Amino acid sequence: MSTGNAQDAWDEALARLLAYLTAMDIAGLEHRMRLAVDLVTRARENYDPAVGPPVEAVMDLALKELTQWFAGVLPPSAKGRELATGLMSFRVVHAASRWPDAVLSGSPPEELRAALAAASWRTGPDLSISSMTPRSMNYGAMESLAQETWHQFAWAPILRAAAIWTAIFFATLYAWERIWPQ
Amino acid sequence: MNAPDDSPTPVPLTAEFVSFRRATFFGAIGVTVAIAVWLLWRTFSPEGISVLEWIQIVLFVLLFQQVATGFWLAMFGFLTFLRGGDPARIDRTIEPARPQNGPRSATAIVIPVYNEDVARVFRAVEAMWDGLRAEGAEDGFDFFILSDSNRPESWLREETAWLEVCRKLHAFGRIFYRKRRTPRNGKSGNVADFCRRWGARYRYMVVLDADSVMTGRLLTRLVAMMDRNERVGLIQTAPRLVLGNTLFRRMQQFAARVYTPLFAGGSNYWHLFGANYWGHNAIVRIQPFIEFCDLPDLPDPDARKRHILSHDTVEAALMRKAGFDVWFAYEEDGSYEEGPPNLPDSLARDRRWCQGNLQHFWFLFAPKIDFANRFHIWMGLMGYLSSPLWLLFLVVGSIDLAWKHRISLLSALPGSGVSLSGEAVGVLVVATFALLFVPKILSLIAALRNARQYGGPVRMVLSVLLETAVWTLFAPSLMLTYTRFVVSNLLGIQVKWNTQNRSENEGLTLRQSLRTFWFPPVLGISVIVLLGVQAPYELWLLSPILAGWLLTPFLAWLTSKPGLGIRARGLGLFVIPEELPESTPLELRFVAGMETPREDDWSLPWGGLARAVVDPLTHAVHVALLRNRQALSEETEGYLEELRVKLLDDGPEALDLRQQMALLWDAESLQWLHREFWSRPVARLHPWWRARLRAEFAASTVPQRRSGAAGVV
Repeated sequence: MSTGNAQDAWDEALARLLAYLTAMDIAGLEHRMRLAVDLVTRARENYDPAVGPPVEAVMDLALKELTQWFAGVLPPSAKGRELATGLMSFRVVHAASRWPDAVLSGSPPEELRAALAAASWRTGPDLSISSMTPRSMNYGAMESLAQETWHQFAWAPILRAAAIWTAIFFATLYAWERIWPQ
Repeated sequence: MNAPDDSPTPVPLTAEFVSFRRATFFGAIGVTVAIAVWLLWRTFSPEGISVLEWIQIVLFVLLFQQVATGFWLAMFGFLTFLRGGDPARIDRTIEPARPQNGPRSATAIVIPVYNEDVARVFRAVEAMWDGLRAEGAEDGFDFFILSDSNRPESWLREETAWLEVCRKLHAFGRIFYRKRRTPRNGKSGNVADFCRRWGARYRYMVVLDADSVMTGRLLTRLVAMMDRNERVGLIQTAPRLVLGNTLFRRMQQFAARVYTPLFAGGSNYWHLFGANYWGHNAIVRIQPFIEFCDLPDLPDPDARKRHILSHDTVEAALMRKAGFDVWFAYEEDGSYEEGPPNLPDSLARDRRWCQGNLQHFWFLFAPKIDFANRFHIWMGLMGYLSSPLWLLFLVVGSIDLAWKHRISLLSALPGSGVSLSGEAVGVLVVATFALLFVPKILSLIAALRNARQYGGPVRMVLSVLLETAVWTLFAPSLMLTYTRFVVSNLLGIQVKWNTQNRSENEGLTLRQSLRTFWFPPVLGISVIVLLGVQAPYELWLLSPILAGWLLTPFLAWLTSKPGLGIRARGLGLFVIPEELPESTPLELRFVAGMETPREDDWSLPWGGLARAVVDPLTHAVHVALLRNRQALSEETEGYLEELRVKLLDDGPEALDLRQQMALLWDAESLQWLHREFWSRPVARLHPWWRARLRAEFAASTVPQRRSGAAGVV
C-alpha cells in the first residue's frame, strides 16, 4: 500500500468512526472527536494489515470497547446484547444530555451506573395468563342444513344454474304472454 | 322541548318498560310497511297481480322495511329529543358533570395497529395520556400498542416511536408495546392475545382503533359507568368523525355529526341494554369477554372462511348471550375517529365490512342469540344485500312498466294498460321520499339550536342540501358497487383485510377516478341509449339514477380534494362543533396540531430494514426488544446466514419481504449485519449500502474530501 493510499484508508476509518459515534447520539461533538482520534491512534499502533483494512480494525476496536464499557455498567441480564441494551438504556435515562462525556471515559460515574441499573423499558407487564378459548357454538338449523348439504360445495355452479333458470323463467313468461295474451 | 333531566338514577328497566318500547318501535315499522305494501297492491291490483308484480311486492317488503326502520329510528330519536333526553341511558347511572374521583379499576387501553400511520397513533396516545393526567386519573390506565404490522418500516417505526413517547412522558411501565410474531386472526386475534397474556391484570379494556382518540374525561366516566353497573359487559361510545380536510371527509363528518344523534337516540330507545359493538371506542369488561367472547369458527366447509372477520357484532351477541348488558353511551362527548378520505377508500373499507357482515348470516338463526342482536345482524346484512335487491327491483320494475306500456299501446280498450299514474302510486312515491328525507329534516331541526357551531343556520342548511345532493348522486353507483361486493363474496372471492388508508395527500387524479369508476357512466350511457330506443317514457323516471351513474367519477374526483374541503370550511360549509376553538377538547387539539411528517429515510424503499442495520439507535431498540433466540437448527442457521450475506452483498432488493422479516426477527443476524456494514471498506459495499453510508456521513460533522480519498463514498 502506498503512503497516500494508506493515509486515505486511515482517513476513511476516522470518518467512519465519527459518523458512527454521531449516529449513536451518545456524546457531545468535542468528546466524540477526542474518542475517535484516541481509538484510531490505538488501532493504528496495533494494526496488522493481514487482519483487514484500517476501517475494519478501527470499527472492531470501537465496537469492542463500547461493548465492554456498556457491559461494565449494565446488569448481567444484558449479556450477549450489551451494545444494543446499553444504547437503549442510555436513551431511556437521557444519559446523552446528563453525562455527555461519560462514554468510554474510564469508569462511569456512580450516578450513571445507578440510573442505568434502574432503567426500565419493559414492553409489557408481567404475564398473567388466562385461558381464552371459543365456546362451542350451535348455529341451529342453518348449520345442520349446511353440514348436510355442503360436503362438496361451491357457489359458482349454483349461481350459474340460478342464472340459467332465471333466464328460462323469463323466456317462458315472455313466450306465454306473446302466444296467449290476455 | 322539556328541560333535560340529568338525574343520576335511570328509569328501572322492567319487562313492561322494555316490551312497551320494542312494541311501539317495531309496531310502527310493521304498520308503515303494511300500509306501503297495501298501496303498492292497490297500484297493481286493477289488472290482477302478475308474476312480475309478485316479485316486486316481495322485494318491496324487504327494501321498504329498511327505509321504515331508518325513518322510525330518527322519529323516536326526535321524540326523545323533544322530551329532553332518554331517561334510560347508561350515563344516567353516574353523576353528570362531576369529575369521577375515587379509586379506579385497573383499565388497559388497547390499540391494535397494522401498518398504520405511526406518528398519528402515538400522538393520540400522548394526547390521551395528557388528558388522563389532567383528570388526575393516569394511575388507573395502562396503554398497550398491539402490533400486527408486517412491513419492516412500520414495525421499526413503532418501536422507536414507543421508546420516544415513553421517554417524553416518563411512562415506561405504563405504555407498552407488543409485536406478534404470528398475527393470527387479525384484529380480534390480536385483542384476544392481549387478553390471554395480560387480561387478568385488568378489570376493563378500552379498545381503540389506530385513528381513535378519547378524552381523559370520557375514559374516566366510562370506567365509572362500568364500576357502577356490574352487569354491564360493554359500553360502546358514539365516535365522532373529525380532522377531515378532503371534501368527502368533511361532508361525512358533517353528516354524521348532524344526523347521528337522532338515529342513536332512536336506537337506544328500542335496544336499551342490547346495543351493538363497533369494535373500537368502547369499554369492555375483560373477565366475561375472556370467558364468553372468543370467536367460534363458522360452520363453513372451507377452512379459510371459518374465521369471523367482523368480530364486533358477534362479540356483542356473545356478551349478551352470556347474560351481560351492552349499552350505547351515545350522548357522551369525547370519542373521536377519522373517516376515509375519499370514495374509493370508503368503498375499500365497505368491501371488507360487506364480507364480514355477510358472514353474520350464520348467527341470524343461532339459538339463544338475543333478539336485539339478531336485529343488529339483520340490519348489517341488509346494509349490503339491499343493493342487489334494489337493482333487481329496478330491473323488474322497468321490464314490467315497459311490458304494460306495450300492452296499453296494443289495446284499444280505454282504462287498460299502464295504471301507474293512479292515486296510490302518488301517495306511495311521496311517502317513500318522506321516509327517506324526513329523518334529515328532523335531524336538522334538532341541531339548529346549535347552528352557530355548524357555521350558522343558513350555511348549515346549505351544507345539508349539498351533502344530500352529492350522496343522492353517489347512491346509484354505490348500489352497483355493493352489488358487485355481494356477488363476489357469494362467489367465494376472498377479501384481504388491508390497512385502512387514512391519509389525504393530494386526492385522486381524474384519471384515477375514471379508472376506478368507469363502469357506472358506461352503464348509464348504455341504459340511456337502450331506453331512448325502446322506452323513452322511462327516461324521466330513471333520470336521478342515470345522472348519478354519469357523474360519479367526477364527483369522486372533486370530493377527494383536500383543497376543496379546506375552501368549503373557509366558506363556513360542512363545519362541525369540534372545529370551533372553544368546543375542541385538548386531546383533539393536540392530535390536530400534529405536523405532517416530512419525507425522510424511513419513506425510502427498504427504509425500515436499512435503519435496523445502519442506524445504531434504531438497531439497538429493535435488538433490545427481540426475545433471546432459541436454539436453531443447522438448516435455519444456514438459511439466515445466506440471507444476511445476500442482503449486504446484493442489496435489499435481493430479498423478498418474507426473507427481510426473517432477518428482522433474528437479533444475531442483525448484530452481524450492523457490525459488518460499519466495518466494511467502501469499496466492498454494495452501491445501495454505499448510498446509505453517504447519508450517514452527511448527518455527521465529518468534512469529506472531494475526490481521490477512500473516505469519499
